Amino acid sequence: MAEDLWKIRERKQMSVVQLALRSGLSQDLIDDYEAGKPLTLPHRLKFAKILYVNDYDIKLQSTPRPKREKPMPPLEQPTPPKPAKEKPVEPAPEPKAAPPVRQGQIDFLKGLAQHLGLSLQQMEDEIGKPLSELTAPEATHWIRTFQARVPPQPTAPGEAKPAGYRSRRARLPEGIDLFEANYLLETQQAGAVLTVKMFNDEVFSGTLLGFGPYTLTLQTNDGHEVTLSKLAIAYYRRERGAA
Amino acid sequence: MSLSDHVRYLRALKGGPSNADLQQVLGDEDTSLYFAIEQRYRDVSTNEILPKIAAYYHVPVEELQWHRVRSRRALALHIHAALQNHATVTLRLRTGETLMGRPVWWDLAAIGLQPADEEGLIVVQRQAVIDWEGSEEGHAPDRTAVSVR
Repeated sequence: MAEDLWKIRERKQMSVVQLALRSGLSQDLIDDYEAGKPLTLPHRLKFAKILYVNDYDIKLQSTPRPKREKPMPPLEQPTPPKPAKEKPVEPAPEPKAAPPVRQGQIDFLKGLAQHLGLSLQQMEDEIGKPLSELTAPEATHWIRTFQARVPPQPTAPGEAKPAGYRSRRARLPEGIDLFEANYLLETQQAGAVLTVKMFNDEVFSGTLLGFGPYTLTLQTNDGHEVTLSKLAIAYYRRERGAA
Repeated sequence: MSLSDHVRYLRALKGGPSNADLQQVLGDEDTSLYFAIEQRYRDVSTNEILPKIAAYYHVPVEELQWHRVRSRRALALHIHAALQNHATVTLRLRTGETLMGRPVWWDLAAIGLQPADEEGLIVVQRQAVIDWEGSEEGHAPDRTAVSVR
């Protein structure tokens, strides 16, 4: 979702001065943009590059930053004296009380109880007190304890997971963009003729001169070079009998 | 064809409106979602944005919904299963053609298909596959053979 320029800049831990230096724009102009002046498209592109976001992630017109509730102290006000180097020995702070259990932890424990076939009462009996009276660290401890009892899921019917197995998201060959590139590279190196069918039924045929993620360049039989956008290609194949 | 590819196709047909053009029509938040729809592998569209996109491109919402259930991921899983099982797939293309063959490989952009009656591979671009056997019931909208080059 698009965000205000100043929000993105602050999230990227960049000051106005730094953004000004990198973009070559004045600080005043950046202040104006952050205060709500509509961004020009070239400047938005520039900011997007510097801030490593998409240009449409930056609002064309930023909402001015809300004013601070506490006003900054006036400049004339003398700065408070720095504390002396030797600090007085302070008494050791009392240990903080552990924070109470979070609702998410309670829900998770309830889910685990259900998963393990325990009633809530059985779980609370084992813990020794109601879930709502746990502290957050206690809840973490019990979550780990009950999680350890969850039986491992088999990877395939009848096959047990190896010890120490952690479930991972499926890795599909989609993550590799090499198959098509290899095919095209082989075609190019072999000097083979490629026949390309476009969405609009046009057919181009020629030697593959080059290719990239988005285009193919062919030298057609009449010697012309044509670059085709892959988005408009339906399919292609090597000519039969090609090397 | 997934909603991502279809929306990209519609944008090309409309002459390739820029981000700023879209932002003026959809607003900031919906433009971000719009581009997420175009770029993401999974379907990230919402019921709220579909009518807006449909109105912008002057297409029925049902057309977008039809493509929505045919995500890139769904096609990938179909091809992957066929690859594992050495099965034949039937792909209906936007050109109106139907190709049958055994997938030899597939990746982000294309599917290497080995037709039963031919020697060489046919490399089918993913965005050209409008429907495939085993996708949800329904018929593809008639939007074939339109140049986007």
